[in-house]
Amino acid sequence: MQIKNQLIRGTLVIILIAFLGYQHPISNEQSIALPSSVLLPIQNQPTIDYEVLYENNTITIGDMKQDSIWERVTSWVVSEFGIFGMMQLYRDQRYINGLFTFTEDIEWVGVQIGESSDLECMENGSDGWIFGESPRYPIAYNGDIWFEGQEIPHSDLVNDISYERLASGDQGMIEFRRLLVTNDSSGRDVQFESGSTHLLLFASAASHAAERESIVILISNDTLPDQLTSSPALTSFHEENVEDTVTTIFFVSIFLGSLLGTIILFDKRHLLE
Amino acid sequence: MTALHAPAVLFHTGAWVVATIITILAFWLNFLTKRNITSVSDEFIDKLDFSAHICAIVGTIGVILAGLTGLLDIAGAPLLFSLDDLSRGWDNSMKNDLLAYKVTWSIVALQCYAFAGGLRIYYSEFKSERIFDQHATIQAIYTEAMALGSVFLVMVVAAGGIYAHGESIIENTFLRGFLPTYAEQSVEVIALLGGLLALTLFLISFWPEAPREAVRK
Repeated sequence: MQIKNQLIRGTLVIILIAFLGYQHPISNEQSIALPSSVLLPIQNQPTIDYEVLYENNTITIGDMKQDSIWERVTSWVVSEFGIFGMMQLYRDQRYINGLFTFTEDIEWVGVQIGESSDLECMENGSDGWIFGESPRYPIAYNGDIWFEGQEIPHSDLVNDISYERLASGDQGMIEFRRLLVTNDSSGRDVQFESGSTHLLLFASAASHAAERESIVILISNDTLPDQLTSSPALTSFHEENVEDTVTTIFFVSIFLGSLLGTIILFDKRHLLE
Repeated sequence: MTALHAPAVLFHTGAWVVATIITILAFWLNFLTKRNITSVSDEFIDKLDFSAHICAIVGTIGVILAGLTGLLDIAGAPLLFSLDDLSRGWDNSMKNDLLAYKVTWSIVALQCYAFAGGLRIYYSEFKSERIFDQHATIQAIYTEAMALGSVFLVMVVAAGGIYAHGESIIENTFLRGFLPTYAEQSVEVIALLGGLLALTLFLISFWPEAPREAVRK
């Protein structure tokens, strides 16, 4: 009987300690918004979601390996590219350099680029980049494309994009670069001048519904940091997941602990016989 | 470590699913026997219970090993690891929704098993009584805790399948509602499992045991 009493008291004390000891994971820190919370439509001054920073160093295309510079470039989570979905961009003197990371078995990934906040999906005359082959239409895209409404996108007559497709485990990657200013009017190319803002709309073979999130990028003159300790996009994902995990485990512990305590209490009082 | 996580998950998932099936069988055989529908001996129920117990021990060790190999796998750490490697594995997992889901629900599954284990230890160690001699509600809660833990573990393995191969066979079953990619269908699964528990408790409430001396064994 004494053991049972101690057991019941012990359970109650554990539940009490768990309640008192629990602290909200980021309650004392500044809350970090998810990237998806910064959405369009935007007002007169567009909210910049992503800055394309400067570095006087172009990536090497054709070496079939991922350039080390990407360790210093902020990642933007792109859900359309699958569970590994990520975009990284930076610029140098002549080129805009990019890395798309996606789930390896996705046949194609792409982005539509626009100037205005009311960019429609596959808007007629808008610019874009698509890499890969559509399983629906036997067309391979090598980067530079333009849209003619809901028609199958056209490859530019002049492909201003160089790229290589890489793979690491289950991750596929497209490392690419394009001239900042191409002056390719037939390809409806967007010109990335310093200080200009552009709208990006992502799609892939796995996800290309009409309603998708878009982001605003700024072609900046600021330079890349020497070292990227943690990417803002990944940090916010990380914080949110840690918070979810800790909260779930905490409440399950409380629930099951209370249930066990109640059963022992009922048993002690012979209520379940 | 990549090569070790995939085979490691098979042991604990198999062991816990077998333990759960045996426990459910023992629960219903015992339930029906005490209401004179079937006649199964206490020894047979004890044998089933013992098998489940052994499977549960194998399963618990397996879950811990699979969790360790999983964290080391995602940290890219060697077999001889340090706490820093585990911490990096945790950090890397939390950067990915699917891996965070796997970590969370593995721990919740272990909590369910710890709860069932706690009940078992209380009755068998502190009171020296059989769990299947207790009130049917206690038995139902014990069985449901094991079943829920196993469902969560199967979901964790399915999420691993999606992570590694982009798809899982669970996506073709009603259980897909527990997968993060089908979150909008989770209500159906919760309603079904909750409904089954409610039905069991309802049955227990309105179907009393036969008098002890009248039970055929």
